[in-house]
Amino acid sequence: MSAAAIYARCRDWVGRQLGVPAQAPLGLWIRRLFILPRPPVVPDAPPGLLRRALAALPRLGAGLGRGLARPLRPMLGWMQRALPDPVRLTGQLERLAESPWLRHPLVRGAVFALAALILWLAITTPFSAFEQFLFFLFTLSLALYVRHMPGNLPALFLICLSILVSLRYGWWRATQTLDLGSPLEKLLGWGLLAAEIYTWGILILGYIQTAWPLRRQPVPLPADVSLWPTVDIYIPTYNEPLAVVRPTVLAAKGIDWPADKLRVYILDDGRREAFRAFAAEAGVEYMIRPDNAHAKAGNLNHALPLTRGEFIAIFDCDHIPNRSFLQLTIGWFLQDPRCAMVQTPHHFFSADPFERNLGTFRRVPNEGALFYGLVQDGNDFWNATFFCGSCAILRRGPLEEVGGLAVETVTEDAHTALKLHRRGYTTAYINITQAAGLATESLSGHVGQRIRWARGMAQIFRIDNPFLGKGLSFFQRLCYSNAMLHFFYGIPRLVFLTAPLAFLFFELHIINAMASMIALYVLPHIVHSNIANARIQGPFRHTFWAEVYESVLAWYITLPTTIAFINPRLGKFNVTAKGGLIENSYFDWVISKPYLVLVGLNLLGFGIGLGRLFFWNTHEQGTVLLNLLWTFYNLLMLGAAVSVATEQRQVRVAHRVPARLPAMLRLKDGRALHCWTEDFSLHGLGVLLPDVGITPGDALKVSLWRGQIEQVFPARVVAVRDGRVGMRFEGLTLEQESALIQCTFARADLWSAWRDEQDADRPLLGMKEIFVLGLEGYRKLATHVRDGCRERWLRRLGSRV
Amino acid sequence: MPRLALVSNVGGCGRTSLVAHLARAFVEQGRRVLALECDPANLLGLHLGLAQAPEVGWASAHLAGQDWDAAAWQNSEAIAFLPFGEVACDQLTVLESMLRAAPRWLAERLEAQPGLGDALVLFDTPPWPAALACQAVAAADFVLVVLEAEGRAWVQWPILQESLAARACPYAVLVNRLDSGLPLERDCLTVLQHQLGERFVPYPVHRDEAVRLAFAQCVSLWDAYPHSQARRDIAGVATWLAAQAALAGGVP
Repeated sequence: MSAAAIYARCRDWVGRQLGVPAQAPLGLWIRRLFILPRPPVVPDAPPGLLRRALAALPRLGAGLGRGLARPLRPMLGWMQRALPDPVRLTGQLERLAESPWLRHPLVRGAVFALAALILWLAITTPFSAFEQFLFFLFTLSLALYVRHMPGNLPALFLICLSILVSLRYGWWRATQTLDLGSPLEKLLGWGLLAAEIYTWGILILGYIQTAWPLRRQPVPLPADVSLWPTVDIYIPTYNEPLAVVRPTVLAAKGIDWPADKLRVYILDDGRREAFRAFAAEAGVEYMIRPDNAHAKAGNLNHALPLTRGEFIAIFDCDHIPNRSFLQLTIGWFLQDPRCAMVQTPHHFFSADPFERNLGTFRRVPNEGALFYGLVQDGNDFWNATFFCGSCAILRRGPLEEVGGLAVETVTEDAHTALKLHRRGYTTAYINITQAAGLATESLSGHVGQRIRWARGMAQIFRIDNPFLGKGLSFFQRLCYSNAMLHFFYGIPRLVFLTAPLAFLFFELHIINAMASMIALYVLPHIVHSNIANARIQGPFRHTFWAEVYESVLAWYITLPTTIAFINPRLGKFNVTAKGGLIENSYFDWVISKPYLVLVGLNLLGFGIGLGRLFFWNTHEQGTVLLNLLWTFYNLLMLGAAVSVATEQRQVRVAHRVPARLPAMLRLKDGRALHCWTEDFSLHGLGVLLPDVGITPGDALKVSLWRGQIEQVFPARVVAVRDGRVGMRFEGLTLEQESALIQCTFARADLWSAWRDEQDADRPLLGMKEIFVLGLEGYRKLATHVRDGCRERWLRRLGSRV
Repeated sequence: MPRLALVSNVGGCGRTSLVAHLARAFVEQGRRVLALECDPANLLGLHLGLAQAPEVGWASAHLAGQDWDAAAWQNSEAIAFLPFGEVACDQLTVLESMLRAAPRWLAERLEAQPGLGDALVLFDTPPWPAALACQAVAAADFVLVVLEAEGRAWVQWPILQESLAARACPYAVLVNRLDSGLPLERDCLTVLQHQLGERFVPYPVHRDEAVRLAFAQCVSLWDAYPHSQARRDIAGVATWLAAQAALAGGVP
């Protein structure tokens, strides 16, 4: 081979590596030595090493599980035969609990005294490591058996078991582990204990709050329509575009209620002419006020004396109500004359930033699901249902009695409910989704909203503390306190995210105990609280997800809650923006900055920890290992937080709602085709239809039904593929727009099945998913760091040339 | 032997085609069906798959003094049918005057016919009050009045309604060839629905070009146009009718 040929081959090889064609000018060659071209955007990168390793994980786990289960299986089978059938046992226990002699006060007293004695012994008796291990084995077996018993009673038992184990851990922490050395160690150690006490408190308050969800059903209305009360519907708006408000107003106008007893008001703090014109056209009232004092609460209060309905329903301007809203909610007011407020869930048909950026939409219950699925039903049992500002209806009398909506805090809704409860009114929660809206678009918006809630709750805690003052029952106080204290999780969460670093960096011992003993006490606490929560919260929050949600928000709510706690009057109200687009995926550097710092610290700590494990602290490897594991867990949580900060592209203007409704397409050639919808949005419709000669661009008419009434909408085909036809509505009149809302978003049963579509909670799988999410966060971070560096390089180069 | 008559007060609103498609819908439900054409137009055979109108039908056979069996057909969809047959004008006058004299002739004739068993009999009729239409109504357990959602729907409607009420025969009204995109038709539909209440069949059959295409191409609407809205509406009508007490029974 000649030298020229060798040169040519080398040049080609180098050219391929750098992505430079052979004939390129020298300048490009030199440039490419430093800067590689930006790779084309590929939605699914080819399987890298990490990706392959992750894909192999489930198989590995399943294999391990099978391997471990094989010797255990005969033993488990034997246990299953030896133990009584859990379902039958539940029945027997329930009968026993209802037996009349248990009602005798003496018997009751004796049982309680005995239980208290056993509790005291179980919490305070010191155990050796082996004894503690046996104790855990015993409680765990008991829990795993009781888990299979149906009903609420076994759930209560699991709660008691969890409280017992956690209190035992707490007692041990308080009595055995606080013999700390230097003042700094004392400070950090006590700080950690305080954070732990906070979590135990919240855990127990949460158990009380959700111990017995009421699951109230609607009360039917009287057949005589003349007995139905008059209702005003308030739709407050400030800066939202008209396109967002229109469907809400049209749906509210179409609610099933006698027309002479229903009035819809647009309360426009933006004072916009277009809104006034729309209101006139749609036949609803339009109201403005001279100032914007007290934001939403002030806006609603302004309308209160100017309207006359016996009841006031409030919908945020982007919550589209179902037509059945009033018929399902008013019944309780007629049944219970002291009832001042009925709340229904907030449901979002678009993905919130967590769901979008983590890809969990419609799979994993979102942050709000626990509150609206369980906590409110639990509150309802204690007559402590909170008002949530929207999708709710209030009785005028009591609302006027407490001076309208509360304006002292930024969460006027919860505060108003508190005032109503203090006056002895009752509130109710009906867990049937009767309205749906758009979730906050961006992470910064989402965080802003949570900050407001956290601030407001902290303000109420200071101004109108539920533990003080008159009028509340003990359990109402507990429910309110939990709702408020819950928002103080910021500092404790940050403590947990940094606590192991004290040892890894500075060799400070903040818990004075053997690592093995800590594990033997902490693990039962974690395992039992997860078993109990999986049982009571399973459909509403998957195991470990609370950790993800709290870790992401911890940093942001720490400062606002602390400031509001110190001085409730500092700070400003902000409105969350809705209806926007994210055109390109990007990484929110600003919002994730604190987390990047925490990631850096934890990574450094992990590296130092490895050094300690093998070289410097070989005399206390157990302690090092425990701290390493803790740091690893923290890194996963932080990874998930970083993952959330990677804003995914979001281009669709109108969010689609999956729904199977009968539809008819009338084509230009006279054929009428029957089909089923796949999804709908405010602007279009997707139907399932194999190839029947429809092509993009065709104009056609779509029929949808509301009950037996057929409505026809002009539309144009925009896409035909894979047995699906997508079309966009065209030139709808206001009447047609209103009819469309009635046929789609306002359907009474539209949201009834959304919870069933989610995956069931499987704690161990959840753990794996969090693991994958955490690692995914680091992969995304690495990609964005690389791209960021490249861009900066290019810019610097460009500025020089 | 439940018997269903499709009747209308005006011509050309799609009775014959409805009879043919309803017959198929009942076959799909697993029922035995006999479609009996009481209309001298002699078109039912074409709607049920014959290439040309049959010369021999029950009327022509009757006039010739023959048995009905010679005129009976069964198509590949398992629908049995008796066409009217080709009958000359003067012969028709003879038949009609005979029918005027014996208003329950058809009913009695069917009672006497062996082999019908539990089969559902569907009558296709000429516009009411033709003598043949009256015979079908007299023989029916249930009358389905077919209308289009337009002004013509109300022509003679009170008289037809009175006569149906006088016979104490249960009846219902079906809107055929509905074009829901036209405001007039939607308004008429709303008025009819409001006026008729329980007697309004809640599955109006939509105007659908597929029905005419299937006829022109000599193919079955059911098999050739599975996505047709009219096909689906007719299936709904058949289900609704099957739930009516007068037509109950006969499902294997």
